[in-house]
Amino acid sequence: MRLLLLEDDANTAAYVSKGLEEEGHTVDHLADGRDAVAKAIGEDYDVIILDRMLPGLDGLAIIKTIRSAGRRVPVLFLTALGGVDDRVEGLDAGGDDYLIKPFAFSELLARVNALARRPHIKGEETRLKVGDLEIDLVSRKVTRGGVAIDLQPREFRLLEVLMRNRGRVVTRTMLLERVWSFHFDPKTSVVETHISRLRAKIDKPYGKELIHTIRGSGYTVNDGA
Amino acid sequence: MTVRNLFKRTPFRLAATFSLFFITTVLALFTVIYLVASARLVSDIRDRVRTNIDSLAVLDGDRTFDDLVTVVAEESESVRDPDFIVELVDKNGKFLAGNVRGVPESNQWMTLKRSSLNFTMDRGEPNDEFLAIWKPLAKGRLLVGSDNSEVKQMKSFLLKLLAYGLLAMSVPVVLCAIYFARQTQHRIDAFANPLARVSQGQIEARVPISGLEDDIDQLAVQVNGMLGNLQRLIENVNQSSSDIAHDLKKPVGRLRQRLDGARRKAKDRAEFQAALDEALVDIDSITETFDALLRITQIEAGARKDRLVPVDLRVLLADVHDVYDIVAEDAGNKFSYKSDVESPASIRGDPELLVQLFANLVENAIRHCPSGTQIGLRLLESTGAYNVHVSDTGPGIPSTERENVFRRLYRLERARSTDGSGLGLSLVAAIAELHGAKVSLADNTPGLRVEVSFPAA
Repeated sequence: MRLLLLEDDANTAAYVSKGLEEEGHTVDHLADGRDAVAKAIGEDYDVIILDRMLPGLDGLAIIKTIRSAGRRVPVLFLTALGGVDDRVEGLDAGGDDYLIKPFAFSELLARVNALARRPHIKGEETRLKVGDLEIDLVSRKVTRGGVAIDLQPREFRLLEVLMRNRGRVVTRTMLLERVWSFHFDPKTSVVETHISRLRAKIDKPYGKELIHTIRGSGYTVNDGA
Repeated sequence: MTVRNLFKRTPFRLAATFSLFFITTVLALFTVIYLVASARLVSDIRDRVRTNIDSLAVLDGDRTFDDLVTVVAEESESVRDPDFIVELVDKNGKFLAGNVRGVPESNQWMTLKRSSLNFTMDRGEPNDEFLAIWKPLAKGRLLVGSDNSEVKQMKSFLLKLLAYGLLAMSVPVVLCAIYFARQTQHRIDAFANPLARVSQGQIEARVPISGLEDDIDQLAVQVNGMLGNLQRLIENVNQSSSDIAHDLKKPVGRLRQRLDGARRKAKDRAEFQAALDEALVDIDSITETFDALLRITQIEAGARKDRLVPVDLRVLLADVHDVYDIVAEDAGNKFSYKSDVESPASIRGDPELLVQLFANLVENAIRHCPSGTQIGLRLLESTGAYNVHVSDTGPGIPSTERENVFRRLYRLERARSTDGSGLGLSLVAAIAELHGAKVSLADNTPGLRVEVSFPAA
């Protein structure tokens, strides 16, 4: 993927660029907000990662400018610790996802991967399939090997988030945000408990696991072939 | 103290202004009395002169004119040091009789100095004045004038009265003004001195209360209340800073030991990896403490107040129950939710923060209670308020500790073994405060009941 990184802190920028390049991505790094706008609009990136606070031009203003120029490129913005309002403001301005500094690299990677557009998608998917597991987003039915599985609404939502990102890692924090709208770190094993209930319904009876735990990162759904 | 400085003192300025105003008023009053009284005296004298002149003018006529000359001449000769003047002249202005001669002709009232008159007889006291007028007659004209020393005496009497009266009244007024000015000045000084000490850093200084229960006392009570709050805030800040330093020392120390241990003892990559993973967990917990502190500060600053939207507490609590039901179950506890409210329990709130508030309380119950605990979430309605009770049948919190648990970084002795920042309830309190809600802790006999009371939207 081609990524644009807008970050004025040299250490963070080097750490992020190096990590993403090791994952096989191409990273263009800029430190000044004004240079960034021209590049973000003029060139074709898969994901833009930008710091909320940049010299020259504020991160929010950059997102707004890119959006008003008609560019739909996914934007992941980085905010400072404890900035309760930054996230809401960033999303309002047209950002797609956010990450609070300091962050684990695996978290950044998972979010960048989740944001990247997949070229083969035409329109909105309504049926998602991994191995013999199939979910229908319209009728909200789940089947495995043709057998219907009864899920609670929240379990369905959890599976849906995992299935939409099939083949990619979804972190614990991403699940908390997307399934439960939790924007804080719970002190109990909320995610683990719900994942284990979901596994009991869709994995255990069928012998072959489709939900996999990626240690230190999160979860992924794939048929493990 | 210079006069200029004196005028910078409000009580003195007020007293001086008041005294000046009073004296000016008295002066104006006396001036009016003086003018009215002297005008009255002058008109009395004129009446007398007119009566006199009219009684003589009766003799004006062809047959009696000689009698008039005789009468005037007799009157002029009868008195030494006269308190009146009289002059009779014929048509050509020739002197016929009188005790003065050559008074200039005029048809108006004249004030004549005794020294300026040409007396035919005795001239008398030279400082006197006469108020005189000419009356035209058929065969000449007649002047009569009267001494006006009464007016002068009256005027000097009034002036004396004014001077002594003013003095007599001004002395008590000025003394009174000085007394009140000093009194007020003392109270202001009593106010200013402790405040000066506060600004020099002695935050414990307080303004004295006189006990008069007047406006200054009310002000003093307010100021003392403010200083008390300020002192508590400063102590909180100091306390928090040392708590933060203390709280961070432990995980940082542990982190150091881990890394140092790994450097000395780890034999292979796997062991290094394990040590680093543990170190990352330590760092995350430190970061979390900072994040919670910053969040609390931001929420307390009220930055999100304009983001409040209508929220149905019934739905929000059902969601919280839905998330934690199985978490509690896995911990061996029972978690129930009951709403006594039938219609939407609508409040103005920040849904995200409200979820965090209740999640925090429920998680506290799950984490700090042994398995087998009953955890209850309940929504009740009272007039103008919705009350949410989060209760458990666990060990509870001793009543002496209930205030402390809302303090930042405070942790009960028995909770020190479990991980946690000691910021959970501070965050709960901050979020509640943002919503105008009250949080209180009660005895659930057994266990703890946290009651959050929201004003209904």
